[in-house]
This record gives sequence, C-alpha cells and structure tokens, in this order.
Amino acid sequence: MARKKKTDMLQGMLDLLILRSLRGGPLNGWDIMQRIQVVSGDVFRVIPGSLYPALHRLEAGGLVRAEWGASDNNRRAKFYKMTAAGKKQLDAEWETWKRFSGAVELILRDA
Amino acid sequence: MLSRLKTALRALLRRTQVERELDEELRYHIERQTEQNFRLGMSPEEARDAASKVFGGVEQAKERSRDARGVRWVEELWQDLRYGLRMLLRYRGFTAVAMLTLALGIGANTAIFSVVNSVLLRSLPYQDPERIVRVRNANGGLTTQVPISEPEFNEYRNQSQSFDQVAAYVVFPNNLTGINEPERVLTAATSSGFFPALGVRMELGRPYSSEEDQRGRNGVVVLSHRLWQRHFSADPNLIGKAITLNGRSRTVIGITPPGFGFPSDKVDAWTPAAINPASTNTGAHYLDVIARLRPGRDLDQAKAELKVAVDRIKQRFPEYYKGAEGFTARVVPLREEIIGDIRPALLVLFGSVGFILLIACANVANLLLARATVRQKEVAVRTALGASRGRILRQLLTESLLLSVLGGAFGLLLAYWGVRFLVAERPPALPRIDEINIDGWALGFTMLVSLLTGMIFGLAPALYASKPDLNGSLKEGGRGGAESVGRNRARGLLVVSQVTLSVVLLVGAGLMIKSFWRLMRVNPGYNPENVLTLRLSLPGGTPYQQAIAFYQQLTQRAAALPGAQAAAIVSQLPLDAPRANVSFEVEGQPSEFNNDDDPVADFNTISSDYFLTMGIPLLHGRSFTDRDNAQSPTVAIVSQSLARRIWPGEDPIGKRIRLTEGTPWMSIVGVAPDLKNQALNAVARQEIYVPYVQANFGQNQNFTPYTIGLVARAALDPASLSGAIRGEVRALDKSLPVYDIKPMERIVADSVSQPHFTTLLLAGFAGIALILVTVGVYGVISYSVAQRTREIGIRKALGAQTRDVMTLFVGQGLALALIGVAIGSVVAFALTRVMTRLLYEVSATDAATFIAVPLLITTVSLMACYVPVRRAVKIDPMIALRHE
Repeated sequence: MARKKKTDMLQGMLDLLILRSLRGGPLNGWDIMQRIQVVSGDVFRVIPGSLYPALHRLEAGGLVRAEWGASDNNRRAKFYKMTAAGKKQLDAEWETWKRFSGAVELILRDA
Repeated sequence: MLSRLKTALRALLRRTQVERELDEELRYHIERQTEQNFRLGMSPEEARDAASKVFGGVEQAKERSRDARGVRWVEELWQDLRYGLRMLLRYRGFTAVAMLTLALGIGANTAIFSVVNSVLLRSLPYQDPERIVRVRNANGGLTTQVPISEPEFNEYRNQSQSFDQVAAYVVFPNNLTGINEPERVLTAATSSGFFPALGVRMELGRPYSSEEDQRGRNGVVVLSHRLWQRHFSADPNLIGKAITLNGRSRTVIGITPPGFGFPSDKVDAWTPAAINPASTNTGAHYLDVIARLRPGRDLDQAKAELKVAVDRIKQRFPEYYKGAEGFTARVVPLREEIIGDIRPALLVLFGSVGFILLIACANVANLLLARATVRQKEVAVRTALGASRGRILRQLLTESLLLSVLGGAFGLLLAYWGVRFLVAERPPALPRIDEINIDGWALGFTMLVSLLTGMIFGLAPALYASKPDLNGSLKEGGRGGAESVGRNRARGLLVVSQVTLSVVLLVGAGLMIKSFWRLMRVNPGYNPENVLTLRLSLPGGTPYQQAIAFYQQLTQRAAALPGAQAAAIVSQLPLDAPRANVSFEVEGQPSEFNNDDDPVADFNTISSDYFLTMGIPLLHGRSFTDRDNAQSPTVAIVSQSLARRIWPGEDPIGKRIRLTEGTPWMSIVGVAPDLKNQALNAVARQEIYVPYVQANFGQNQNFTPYTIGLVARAALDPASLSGAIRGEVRALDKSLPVYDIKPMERIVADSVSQPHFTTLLLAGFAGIALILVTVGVYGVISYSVAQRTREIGIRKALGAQTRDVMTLFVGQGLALALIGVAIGSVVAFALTRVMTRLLYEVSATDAATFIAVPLLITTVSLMACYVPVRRAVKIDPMIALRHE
C-alpha cells in the first residue's frame, strides 16, 4: 500500500481477512465472503458493497492478482490469488495486529 | 508499482471491457446470493430482491469499485473533455463566435509579442552586445551625425584606453564574377578590428588580421553564410579559393555564421579596408565606426576619452577644423541605435493588442454568462443525479479551458501567418527583420494567455451556473425567472469595459491616422513623381578628370534617352542618406571661430540640370549651366532659409561664401526653395549647392563625389527608363555596378515607412476592436431582449406603443454605451500622451479625434442596440406572452 490513512484501520482489517482467506488458494468474491463468514464462526459478515471495492483496491495495489475462470458450477467468475507481495503484506499486517491486540489486552487486563 | 500502472492503463484504455467485467463479477455474486436465498426458502423474486439489496445499491457499489481503482480523476477529466467537446459542437454558433474572438485576440497578441521579443527584448546576436557602441561625429549647433573621416578614425583608434577594439567600415556594392553567374554583392570594407569588436566567430576559416589590413596585402575576403550557401552551394573547400570582386581577385579566408549580417543583413562580403594609418584626407567623411568597450569601462569614460582624441585631431589639422568648434564625438550603445527608433511604436502596438485581448475576453465572458443561464436546467439535473458542486464546476471550467485552448491554437496559426506575412513584406521600418520568428517564448506566452483567459472568463460563469436553484430550474418555465440581478450587472459591467477599451484604442488609431495623413501631405519642395533614381560609385582612386568626364557623358546620354525629359546627378539623393555637413565663412561677416553659432549647412554637389529634373523652381537668380566649369568663376546656390539667416532683408545674389580658409570664394548665383532633404517630418535644412565640376578645392578639400545618385525624369513611368540607363552606364564602363534603382516616390514612401507601418497596424487593430465591440453590444442586447420577451409582450398587451418599448430598451443599452464612452474618453485623454513622439503635427489631445471617436462608437452601439430590439418588438404580443 502506498499510503496508510488513519481511517484505514477498519479497511486494513478487511484486507487482512481477505488475504488470509486467500492463503489456501485462489477464490472468487462470493467464496471469499462465505469463507470469512464460516471461519469466523459467523461473527464477521462482509457486506458485498465493501468487499468488492476492497478486492479491486488490493488488485490495483498488486497484492492480489485476478483471473477469470470457471466456478464450480461452470459459470464464469473472477478469481483472486495472493501474490508474493500480498503474502509479505499479510505477514506484516498480522504482526501489527498481534501487537495491537496484545497491547489492548494488556491495558484491559491491567485496569 | 508496476501493477498499479498496469491497472491504471487498463482502466483508461479498455474502459468498456473493464466495466463489463465489473458488471459480470457483481452479477455472478448476486446470482449466487439469489440461489442461496432461494434455497433458504424465499420465492425467486424475493430472492433476487434481497440479493441486490445486500449490495446496498449496485450503482453505488460500482462507483466505489471504480474509485478504488485510483485513476478516477483521469477518467473524469477524459469524460469532461468529451462532454465539453460535445457541448461545443452542439452550440455551434456560440462556439464559432467565441473561438474566432479569442483567436483574433490571442493571435494578434502573439504576433506582436513575437515581434517585440525578437526586436526589442532579445539581445543582439553578438558576444556581450551591451559593450558594443557606435562612435559618431556630431556637430554642436545642428544635431547632425556626420560620417567619420580617415584621420578621425585613426585618432579614435589610437585612443585605446576605453576600447578593446575600434573598427571602421563602409558599405558599397561590388560585382562578383568568376564562379557561376555574375552577381551584385553588397560588400563592407572594414578595418581589422571589425569582427573582434562584434565578437563574431567564423563558421569556417578566420577573419582577416591586421597585417592583411594594409594596402597591397588586403586581397582577402570573408563571405556571408547566405552567399556561401546560395552562390557557392556551401562548398566546404571554398576557403583558400579565389573569387573576383569588382575585377579584383581575392582569396576567401572565412565564412560568417548563419544569420550574421552587420551592418545590414544585406551585406554578403567583408574585405579589409586598408585605411592608411597616416591618412590626412580630412575632407572625405564616409566611415562608420563601432567599438567594443573594455570591461570595467563605461560610456562616460569613453566619451571623455574621445573628447581628448577630438581635441588632438583639431590640433593636427587646424585649417580644416577651423570654425568647427562644435565638432564632437558621440558614443551610443549599438542596440540603442538599431532599435531606439522603433521602440515607442512597438510599445504602443503592444499595448493596443493587449486592449484587443481584453475586449475579446469580455466578449467571450458575456457569451459564456448568457449560455450559463441556458444550461441551468442541465446543471440542476446533474446535481439531482448526485454530482457534487465541485464536479460540475470542474466540468464547466474544463469546457471553457477547452474553448480557450482551441482558440489559442487557432490564434497561434493566425499569428504564424501574420508574422510570415510581415517578414515577407520587409517593412524598412522594422530592424532585425531576419531575427523575427514565432519562438518558444511566444508559444509559452500564447499558452499562458489562453489558459488565463480560460480561467478568468470561465470562472465567473461557472460559479453562477453551478449554483442552481434546483426547484426553480426543474419547474416548467424555470428559465425565464431566474435572472439574478448580479448576472445582469456583470454583463453590463463587461459591456461598459469593452466600450471603454475600444474608445481608447480608436482614439489612438485616430491620432496616428491623422498624423500620417498630415505627413503624407507635406510638400517636400521637389516633385518626386515620374523620377527614377539610382546610385553608382566610381572606384576609389579614379582620377578627377576621368570622373568629371564620366559624369558629363552619363548625364548627357541619360537625358537624351527617348522617354527621358531630363537627367542630373547629385551627391546625396534626398531622404535617402545622412547629409554631408560643412561649416562655412561668409564674406564680409567675420566669424568668431570659437562660437557654436558659426554657420553650418548641408553640402550638395550637383549637375546643372538637377533643379530642373527634380521639378524645383528656383526662387531667385539662375541654376548652374554648362558654362560653370572648372575654369569659370566658382559659384554656389543656397537655400532660402540660409539666405534669410545670413543676409536678412538683402539680396543674396552676388554675395560670396567659402568653405574654409584657402578655398576659393563662391558667388551666390541663385536661391533655391527649402527642401525636405533629410526627412519629411524634419525642419528643412540649410543647403549649399555647388556644381560638381567645381567641387575640387584642392588636396584636402576635394568634394568631388565618387558615389553619386542619378536622377532622371521620365515622361511617363520611371521604371521604363531603368533598363536604358543601365545600358548607358554599361556602355561607358562595363564593370561599374549600378544599384538601388528605384523611383523617387518609393524613396519618399520608404522614408515614412515607420509611421506607415505603425499606422497601418494600429488602424487594423482599431478595426478589429470596433467589430468586437459591436458584436459584444449586439450580443448582450439581443440576449437581454430575448430574456425579456415576455415582458415586452405584457407591455404591448397593456397598450404600450412600439416606440415607447423601443425607447426603453434601446435606451438601456445606449446608457451602458455612453458610460463606456465617457470613461473611455477620460482614460484616452490620460494615456495618449505616451504617443506624442509618434505624432506629426497632431496634438495628443487633438479635439477633432476626441469628438469623432466617441461619436462613432456611440452611433455604432446605437445601431447594435436598435436591430435586436426592433426585431423583438415586432413579435406578436400573444406569441411573446407564451415565450419562456
């Protein structure tokens, strides 16, 4: 990412979730949405209206690469795959998130 | 990041495909969601509905996706441009008028700016040009600028403290023969310091050295780049070859860089003048002198030094300089000399085109203001669709910028043609003509002016237009009611300022026209009609007898030609060159020799038929005849003002004058009228005429001319004589070049070429301004009347007479015009004083012009108001009432 705005926190979290779900291989938008919902135990439900802009942003930034292919029911769909840069970003974000949540936990526990 | 670039490019270049993919991608998602909903138990329609609702508005989602791609602004700009272009094409009339107006304004500006830049601003194409000066002689009482003699030049050159180089030159034509066809080549004979003084490096070869600048060793020549290319086909081996100039073989040793042309761009060859450093020829003044100031020295120091040189020379030749106590040397920066004359004119022209541009901008601003109202509906719709004010503003601004860039491009084309035309005409008034072109600066200037006009006149209308009254505009008939007072005021202000500017411009033009008119009606004292002139020079060193014989035969044969009524020769053609100037003694009036009041006069040697040929009626006495020859008593003819000044109230016939002690006394035999010999707009000078056959007063006082002008009066067209006269010259001497063959009328026209040039251009600009203002007033009034058509209908339906309605509307327009005229007259009154130098016998506050111009503009505005109002008033009130 070129610039990180302060309001990007939530956006960053979504990007993180997306990248994470792509770790297993290329997925299309619908699949990503399902996977996040399922894996998070239905805690996170991504609104499609936010998902696709995020995907396109990641694509423009070179963190994912898109390809058109056939879905499981043989319809045309756009599949996204994580790139090497994406993987690097994922690891970095994960670190940041771990540090962040660790700090919050510390503060909350301390209180 | 490469991928970012790739995405951006793809987004721009394959927009439809990208859009389609986005569509497909979202559609796939909606389908899957629909299936899931269906499986969960909804009906097919509910399933689909719920699916798309989840998206939260598909269009908005698409927008956000598009935004996410990050190239939004470029896409929007492209959109704006295409939309703007479509709009411009749709309102074709408006676009045409606006573009033409802008093109005229910008084109005129760019053309004049190119000229001003090339002539005034750009430094001369020599090294350190500010250090190059011209040295001139001057004679105290009368501000004459006499050429310099050899002893004077040598003295100046020896005085080398302030100067690095002092160089002299004289220009005359030569015959180039030997290789290819013979050609006449203007040659400058210069001293060796010439090229170093200018700081010019040869393109090929080298300049001549001081060794080569001596008698017997100066058989070398430097050629111009142009001649090298044209005559010698840019032969790279030309250096070292020999060419023949005026029958004399010279070795080519150098080629000048392209574009170099000093002292004039017509000079094609330079040879060493081999001036004798010990010359005592004090009488022949024919040299021009330039010098390069030494670093660290300034003009004042140079002037002081030259004064020392002048004193020394006066001591060396006391008899010659007796009575010439007013004789001094002057130092003028070369640049001043070349451009000083034309600068005020060019600046006035530059100011004028600025006015035109402002008027043009006002016109277009008004046009855009009017159109902004028309497009209010469209703006309201777009706002309702969700466009932000900034976006709309941006689009409107882009449209005006597009208009002004297109107008600017068109204007650049006009400017290019205009400058090409100007350079082709080669008005003698304009110096440095070969250096004029549309250069990078002019291009940058045009672009700047285009963009500024786009922003300035695009901004206000755009601001107005993007502030829509949504409700009002979208309603039926929304157009008519929303005319804000502010907008009307703005339009009125624009019209007033247009009228003001054009008044100033027209007054200036009017003054120039009147001045030029006066100038053309000046009676020069001679009759230039049907007179052919030409010049020729005898080679230096021609023995006196041979020269005399040649002149006698020439004039006889020329006069005897069929079609010729008379022919004569004269040392200096009128209006064509600086005059030779002498001081003289009057018998019986002892002169105080250290006084600036010593009589001086212009000195002319002529043949006996000169006054006859030129149509000059003598006032007293007689002209010279063949009986005035070398053996008969020496005689002279003086001009009337000289006679009046020297012998007031007496008859000058029989009185005697002489040039200096030692020269014979000359008896006055005739009085000639005052002639305009130097310039039409200068006071007639005091003249002495002497028969050329008697002009040899001895070794140091030989005034026999070696360069003469031949004048011949033809019965009809003077050009018909040129071939015949050239034939006669050739018959007498085959190798003698004859040059500058032109009718006398042409010389007269050339002498006023500067005011002619300025007046022509200024009048043209004034014409353009008048057209623009008329169009502007007409447009505004038409528009305003169209807006108020309903009101007119109402008035008429209520019983108002046509005449009353017309008076009302025309009166409103006229009021604006009158305000503009009033302000304009005041401003013109204040500004025209800068033109005083350009005017001949016309005051800068000339009453007639200041009355005529406002009257003209008021009348024109009145007509421009009348036509649209009359048309509108004729509409049937029933139709008018229904008009929206």
